Amino acid sequence: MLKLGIYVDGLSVPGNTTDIRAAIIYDDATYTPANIIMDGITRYNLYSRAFNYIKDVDGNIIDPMYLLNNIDKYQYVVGEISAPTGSLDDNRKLDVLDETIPLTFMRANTVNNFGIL
Amino acid sequence: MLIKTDLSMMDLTGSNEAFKRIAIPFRIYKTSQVISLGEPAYTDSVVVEIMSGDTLVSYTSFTKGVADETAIARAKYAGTQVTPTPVEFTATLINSLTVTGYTSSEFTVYVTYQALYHDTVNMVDDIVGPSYSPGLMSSVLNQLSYLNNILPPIPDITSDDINSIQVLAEDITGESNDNYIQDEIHLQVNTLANRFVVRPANGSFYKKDLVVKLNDVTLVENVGYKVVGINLGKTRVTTSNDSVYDYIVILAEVASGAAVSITYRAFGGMVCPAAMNQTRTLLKNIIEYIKLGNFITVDTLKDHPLIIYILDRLNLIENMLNISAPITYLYSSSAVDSWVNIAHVAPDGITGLVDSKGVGHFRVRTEKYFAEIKLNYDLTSTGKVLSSHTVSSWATTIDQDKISHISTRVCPKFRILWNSDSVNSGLVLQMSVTRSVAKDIYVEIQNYGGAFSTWTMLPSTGVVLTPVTTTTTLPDDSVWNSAESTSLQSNVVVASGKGYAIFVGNIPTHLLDPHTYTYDITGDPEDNTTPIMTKHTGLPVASLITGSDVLIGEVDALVFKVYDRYAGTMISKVSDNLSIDGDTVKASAMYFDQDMCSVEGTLTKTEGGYNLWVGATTGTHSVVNERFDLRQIDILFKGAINHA
Repeated sequence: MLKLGIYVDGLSVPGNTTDIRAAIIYDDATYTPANIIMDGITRYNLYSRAFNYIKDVDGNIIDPMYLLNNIDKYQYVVGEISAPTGSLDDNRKLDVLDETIPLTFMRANTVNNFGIL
Repeated sequence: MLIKTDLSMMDLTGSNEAFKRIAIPFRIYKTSQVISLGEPAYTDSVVVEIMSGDTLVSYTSFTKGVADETAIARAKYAGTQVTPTPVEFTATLINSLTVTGYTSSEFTVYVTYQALYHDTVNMVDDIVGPSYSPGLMSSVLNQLSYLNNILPPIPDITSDDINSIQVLAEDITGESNDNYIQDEIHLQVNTLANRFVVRPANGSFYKKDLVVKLNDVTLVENVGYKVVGINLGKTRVTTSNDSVYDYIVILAEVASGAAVSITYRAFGGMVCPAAMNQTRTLLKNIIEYIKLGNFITVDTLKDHPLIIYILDRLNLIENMLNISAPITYLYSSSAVDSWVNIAHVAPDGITGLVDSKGVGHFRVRTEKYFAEIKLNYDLTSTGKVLSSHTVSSWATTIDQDKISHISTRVCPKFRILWNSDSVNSGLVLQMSVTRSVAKDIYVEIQNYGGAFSTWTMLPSTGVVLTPVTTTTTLPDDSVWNSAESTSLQSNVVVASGKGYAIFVGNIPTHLLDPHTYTYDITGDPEDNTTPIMTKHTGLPVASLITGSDVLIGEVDALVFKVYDRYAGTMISKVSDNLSIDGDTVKASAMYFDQDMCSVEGTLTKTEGGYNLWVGATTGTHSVVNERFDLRQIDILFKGAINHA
């Protein structure tokens, strides 16, 4: 059966309201969901839900593809995925790019990888 | 209709009207002529008459034949069987008469008598079917005698100088003017060469009107000619007081070339062989005339220029339009491949050979899938024998059907079977259609190769196609057996149409970067100005592949869909680089060149299924802005049309 897997911050406390960082669709017959681990540390926890557990604030079931395209509209709250109250605009849309990164930054070597900035 | 079951077949009283024979004519042409009645008759009931003017008058110059003791014995026995009161039969029965009154001229007598047996031809109409009886047999014999003596024509006419043949009506009166033939010339008579028999062209004739001439001089009967071959059957049925004959014998001395003419009144009622010959000749001439091509018949139709022209035009149109009726098969589809036979290439009807190279052109339609596919084969190839090229397709996609695409999409595959030691046994085209949810589906396939296609679709049986497991039959009825080293199967080609989605999700690329590469410090650990990137496989994610749909060798490209959060658009990028190493395919695409952003995927086929890793290398600005999300990865198979 196809399911939705969501990744939330690994450092957050399970059960609390949590932002969704990433999501995948998978078939539980062929794939075993796993957390994302980096350097021995669980960076993102994966929680999987059947499609009919994806709901908006009114409790209506939401198309999983809609969620994938708007994952920041939803939150993971006490085992449920639902849209938060307030604006339904995709708040992940970037209105202004940060152009302040100096060229020397790339050579700073202060971090192991840009990706974990 | 009532069925009368007590029909009496024998009359023991000698007075039953149903058993009475009335005025049966017999021709008398000699002295003491015996008349056979052909059946037992009551002696006391026999009455003989002759025609006088228009009426019958009694005639006494005859004697009754001897008693028929056999018939009398049968009648006596039958009398003892009558219930409840047996009958004692005392009458006398005879079978014949002897007419003694002939002097020099022929005449007809009419005999009336009571018969012992029932005459079936006189039965009343509402009686259904007589029992077998002597009366029935007598009637049948009489009918046969009539057919034999009256109806058959004279066997043959040899005269060459018959100018015309008339089909004459049967004339039993001997008075019909229509049957009067004048001066019929017979040049073949040559008595010196023993050719002296004349057979009139119109068959039997009445003697009384016969006039025979030699060179326009009338011959005298019994001197110049005589009539022979009395036709007893025709003489019996005529009402004329005359006899009917078949032949004339010329007695006069006639040399070759002398003209013998005959004038006569024909009995008629039959078709002479000469008439049949003339009719045949006429028909033959008509047929020859028709065969000149001026008229269309069933035989000449195919050779007529107009028809040839029309057929050529039809062939041309069929080829241009590639017309061929589609065939619909019922197929049991599931996630596991199930191979069925759908078409074959049979040996050429004339040469018996099979082309080792060929092209097939098919239209395939099932569920939410339609594609026009060309399948090319080359049996001599040392690489892939079969390749496909999708001309056009319409199929379910994530964009159109969202998540249901995964469960409703179908993935047709094809392969061919043949025996390498006898290529001319023909080829079999097999199909497998996989689907994540098992279901019996209708698959419609149209051979789109036109009239010159070497492929022949197999007929649909209307029931679910039987999968071929180990053996099947080739077009020439020889056996293909997978256990034989010479029984080969080609590579499998996939015709999935548009993109086959293997990953669906939303993963920010900056999440993928640390799984894709790391910077390592080389040399002096205090000098961090020369980091080097170490490559990693990527982040393992779920792959959405049904069964074993994806054949790594058939993968042509990966299509990455990355969402640009600043532009608000989806970037769809076909892989720039793709490498296949055994069961692993790796592909990457640079999707945002300005900031050196690329995305990549690695797909490996294993015993248990598929493993998929996704990765990204994202430029500095895009990382800090968390600008891009990986949303989807599709596979394009070889021969597929460009991803739309």
